[in-house]
Amino acid sequence: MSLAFDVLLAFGVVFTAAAALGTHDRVASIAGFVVTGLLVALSLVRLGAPDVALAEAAIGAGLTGALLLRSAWRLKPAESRVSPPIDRIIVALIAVCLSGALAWAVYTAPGAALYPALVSERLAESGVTNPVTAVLLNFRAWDTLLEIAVLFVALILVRIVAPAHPQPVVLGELMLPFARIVVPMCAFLAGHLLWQGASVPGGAFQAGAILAGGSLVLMLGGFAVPTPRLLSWGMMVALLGLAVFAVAALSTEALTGTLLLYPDGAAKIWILMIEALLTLSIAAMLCLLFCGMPRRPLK
Amino acid sequence: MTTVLHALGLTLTTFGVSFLLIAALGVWRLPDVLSRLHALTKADSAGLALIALGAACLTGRLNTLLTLGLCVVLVALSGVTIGHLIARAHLSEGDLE
Amino acid sequence: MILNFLAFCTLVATLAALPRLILGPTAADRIIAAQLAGTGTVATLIVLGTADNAPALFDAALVFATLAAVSGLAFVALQRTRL
Repeated sequence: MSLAFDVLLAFGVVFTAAAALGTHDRVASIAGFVVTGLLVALSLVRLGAPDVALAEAAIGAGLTGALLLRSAWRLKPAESRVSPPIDRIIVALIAVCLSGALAWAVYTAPGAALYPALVSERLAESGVTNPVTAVLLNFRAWDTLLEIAVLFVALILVRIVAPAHPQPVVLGELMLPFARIVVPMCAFLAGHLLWQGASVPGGAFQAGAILAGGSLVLMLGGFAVPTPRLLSWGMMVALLGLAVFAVAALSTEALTGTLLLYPDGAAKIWILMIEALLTLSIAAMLCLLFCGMPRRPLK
Repeated sequence: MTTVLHALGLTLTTFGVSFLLIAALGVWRLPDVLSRLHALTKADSAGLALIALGAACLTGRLNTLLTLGLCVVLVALSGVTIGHLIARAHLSEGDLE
Repeated sequence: MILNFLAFCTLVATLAALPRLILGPTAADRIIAAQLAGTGTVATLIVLGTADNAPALFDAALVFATLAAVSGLAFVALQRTRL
């Protein structure tokens, strides 16, 4: 029975992705993208990776959908172009070769995974009991620092491109009860995910994405208007995460002699502090990616 | 006692899943936007509530009750609000784009 | 055993939103289909969590429910036609 479930899920992902790419209507493509994200998150749950599933649902299905929609209304209607047959044959050949290479790689992969054994050996000294959090924020904290830097670069690019602010439609009186329940729920859920990320699936990225979702509700409902003052506060919070992480990395260098080697016994406190600020910072970065930056007049 | 609870949980979950299937059938086959919206809200409120109640009976742990209750509240609330907004936009200007 | 079958049924209900997503003549139909898929995914996670006795999946269901609410609101609020 679970085999039937997994086969149906696999077909569903492929079919939904094909539907999202194949339709000529823009809203249909974005809705197909969101549904594909949800089904991919479901298959990640089936593969035993709930942390990644939470991150995929929060960022892929929720926030990226909003980002796509926010830009979609400014584009003119999609024109259907038919590409010449030779192009399509070449693309089909490349796709078949790529799928074949992936299938061969999966088929010839060694049966047992090497990583979990290595991680569980050293889990006790990492300060947390969730192996994913231990890897993200202790063993490979350097990669996480660089990921935050990548988000920062994306923010700089948005500042340079300076897109127009999204203008949500006025939605009426039902928004107030909706926001009164959903926004505190998002804040509560973000704190819950952040705290329990030390032992069960959760963590800073997922919590930050949920918090950004709650702020998105505030912005779309018209309760938080993106004034320049609010946007500059958001920019400061966004930069705070990267700054604190970099300062923490340098101070670990100063305290223990190795970059990002936390002092003995204090690993949990360092991880918690970095994670808390990362949550706020990721939420601010995602909100700023959505609403754009204050436009500077050319002098 | 536990077997009664187990049987009750299975029954509730089955009813909830059948609500969901009938609502999916309705969204597929009904002729008009507003009637499809009506089918959708039945899945959101009744279907998910029954499934969550059944799951609560089956797992039998108290701290999952809060999580499941919040799920039901969130999905029902968003179903109601978004359904209202879709209907309002559909009736006032003829189409959402 | 029955729960695995119920999980399969909720997955079928989630995927049954696809015809309306592809065909639906108006944008409202597509938003309805996306909402149905979101609710179906939450239901699938709850039933899977009960079947495998993994309460962590209930937390995942809560996150999915929140994100479905946010994304549905984004669909409705960011329309092309202005009132």
